Amino acid sequence: MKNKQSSVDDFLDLSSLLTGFDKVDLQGTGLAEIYRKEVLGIIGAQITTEIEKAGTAIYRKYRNREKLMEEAVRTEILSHAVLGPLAKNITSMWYLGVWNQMPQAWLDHVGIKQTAPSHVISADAYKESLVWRVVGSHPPGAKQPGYGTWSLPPKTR
Amino acid sequence: MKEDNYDVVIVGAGIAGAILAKELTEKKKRVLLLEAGKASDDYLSYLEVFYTALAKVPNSPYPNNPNAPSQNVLNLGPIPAGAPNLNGYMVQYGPVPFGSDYTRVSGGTTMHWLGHSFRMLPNDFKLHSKYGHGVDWPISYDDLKPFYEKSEWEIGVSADVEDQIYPGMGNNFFGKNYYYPMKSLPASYLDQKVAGGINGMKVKLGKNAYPLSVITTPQGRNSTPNKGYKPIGASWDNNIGQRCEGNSNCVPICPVQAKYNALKTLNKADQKYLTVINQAVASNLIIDPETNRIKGVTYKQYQSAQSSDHTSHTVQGKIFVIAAHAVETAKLLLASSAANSSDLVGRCLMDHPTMLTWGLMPEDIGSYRGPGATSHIPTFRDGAFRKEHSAFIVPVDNWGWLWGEFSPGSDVTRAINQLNLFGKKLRGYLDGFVSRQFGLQFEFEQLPQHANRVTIDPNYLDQLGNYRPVVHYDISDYTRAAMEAAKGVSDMIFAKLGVEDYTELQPRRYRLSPMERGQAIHSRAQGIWSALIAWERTNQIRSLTKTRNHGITKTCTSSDRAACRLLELPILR
Ligand SMILES: Cc1cc2nc3c(=O)[nH]c(=O)nc-3n(C[C@H](O)[C@H](O)[C@H](O)COP(=O)(O)OP(=O)(O)OC[C@H]3O[C@@H](n4cnc5c(N)ncnc54)[C@H](O)[C@@H]3O)c2cc1C
Ligand code: SF4
Repeated sequence: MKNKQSSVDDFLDLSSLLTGFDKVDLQGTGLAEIYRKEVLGIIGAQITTEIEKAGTAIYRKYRNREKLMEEAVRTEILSHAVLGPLAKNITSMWYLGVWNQMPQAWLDHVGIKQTAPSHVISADAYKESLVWRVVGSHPPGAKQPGYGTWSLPPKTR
Repeated sequence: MKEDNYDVVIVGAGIAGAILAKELTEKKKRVLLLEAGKASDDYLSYLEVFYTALAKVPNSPYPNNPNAPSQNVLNLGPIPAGAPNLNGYMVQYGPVPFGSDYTRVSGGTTMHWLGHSFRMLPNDFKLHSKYGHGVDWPISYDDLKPFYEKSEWEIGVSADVEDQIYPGMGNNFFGKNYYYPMKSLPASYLDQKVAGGINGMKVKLGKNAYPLSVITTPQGRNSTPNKGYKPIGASWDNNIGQRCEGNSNCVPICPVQAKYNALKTLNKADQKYLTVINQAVASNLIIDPETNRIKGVTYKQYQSAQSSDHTSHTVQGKIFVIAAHAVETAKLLLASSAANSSDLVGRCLMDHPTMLTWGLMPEDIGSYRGPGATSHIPTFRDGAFRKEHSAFIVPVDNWGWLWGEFSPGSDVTRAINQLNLFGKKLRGYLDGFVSRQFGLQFEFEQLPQHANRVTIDPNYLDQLGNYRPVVHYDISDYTRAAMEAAKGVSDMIFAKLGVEDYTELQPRRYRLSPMERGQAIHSRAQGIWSALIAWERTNQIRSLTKTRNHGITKTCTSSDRAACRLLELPILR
């Protein structure tokens, strides 16, 4: 039972908690595996596994119980000295398609000497950045909505 | 010397050079076009570069080319007294940083222009006699009018004449039967809300009250064609980009080329008569000591932007046109000691300093959709207030706080890191906050000031040994007074619309940290001088042929530019 779930699925559980998007939406971006590889490559397997485990446990236990879920994420992930800053970075990666360089204090704390600078993960990451969906628009320069759409009332979301 | 002797040698494949190349080759003149940058046959690769650029500033899609460098707004910075800022390509002495840029690839700066295609007003040409400031032009609006028409048809401007009502336009601003080549683009939803709220509202400036109006903006992007016009699509496939698709990315790059760029004009030139040499940087003009006319151009040709290896060549021609952009044209003339008996070359550099104001509308206005701006407030383009301060135009921004705050990237970062939001609450917060974001741009006229100038200095050279532009630039009290007045106008508009003001008018930091660059996932420029953000319009109207006659190095918009160039054409007949 334990080993049945793939790690990408754990990553999706965690990502769904952090972003507020359903797993199917996140899966639909085609970026889950790419993002997970990115985190693994930059942060290493140990911490990545730790945050995925924490996330998937909360996701399974409290799914659809918003209040308890929020409580648990705050207690076990966000306020955790190692996992908190990483969780924030994973959230912003999904929202902006950008990996932000981890803060120096955090790197010192976990003992990482060299790390990736801030960068846009890929053209697709930019195009799929969730912020545009949330605000009812589209990433500038991609997924064009069509002539004259800007003159219509915004979509109800 | 190359053996070829061309009728006309043009330096620069921007809009000015391209229009000339087209018009001249149509008249069977043999034209050589020298272009410093790459040919833009690889437009789609620019788009890929744009997608992965951390800070999506105007020049982000275009190659960083040390052999034909251009300014990048990311290099702007405070200027310490006495010493220039050397961070970017421009050597900036200030005291105010010149906040604009230009693009050195085939197609030039229209690659990332916004496409707004305004005509100047009759009183702009008589500023001194009418309002006691600046200078009068040696030509009038009426002289330029037929060329505006021609260039609007060349660019492919979308607008309806009946909507275009400006102060001081007189009663024959448009010819009797004139129509633009394409119909107006629809005003955005938020434009409609703003127009509904402020149309007719009276705003006091000095002694007079001015009724506000919100009208659609003429712009060089494809909409529905009028009789006699065929929209021109992408340079690689005419079926693409026949209409604006709402990519909301006109600056820095339109993915489908629904927005005009000079490649479209260049493609129309009669290729039988046109020779183009790309990656050829003109570095010196050879002047015949007897006739005092230009008889040749020396250019440096390179194979790769990565290497400074190059060969030098000289070409001859009967007539030379330097259309290398206001800054580069001045540089080349200065480097060659050409046409400068007046000591006016490079002087009176102008921009249109911009002030942004921004706030939250009471309801979702669907920001971040459509072309940069589809409407504007023309009220302050002309009026008695020009005795006290400069005129300004006010585009209503469709792109929310993008420019002022790097939104929505910065909102995401703040919500996650400072507000400690995640999950559904994060979504809810961003939804409510971002789609209400509203912004106005106030773009100000600058007067010709001799001290605002481009010069050269042998201490500052680029990789090929060409001069870098050395820039002195300031904003006068006449323009600053308009900024004050404009803030008052903004306050009244915000009050009427119930906008919660978020404008931050303190000086802003210049340099972006890596984290901030991440936030700036799509920023046209970065905050500069007390929210005065100056983006380009550096155009000299003056050309080689006119240099000695008068002292205006007036900046003008692309359509002015095109019109000015066309005005000079008759000398070739
Ligand atoms: C962000 C931005 C937005 C803008 N939006 C608008 C707008 O909405 N409306 C408007 O009217 N204007 C706008 N402008 C201004 C407008 O784009 C420019 O005024 C116009 O494109 C200038 O045209 P040009 O042909 O004079 O110069 P450019 O378009 O700059 O062309 C000059 C050409 O010369 C080449 N060149 C330079 N040096 C050399 C050399 N030594 N040898 C050979 N070739 C050389 C360059 O590579 C380039 O191709 C905007 C500008 C910017 C930066
Ligand atoms: S809105 Fe989009 S399609 Fe239209 S001109 Fe701008 S970038 Fe091109």
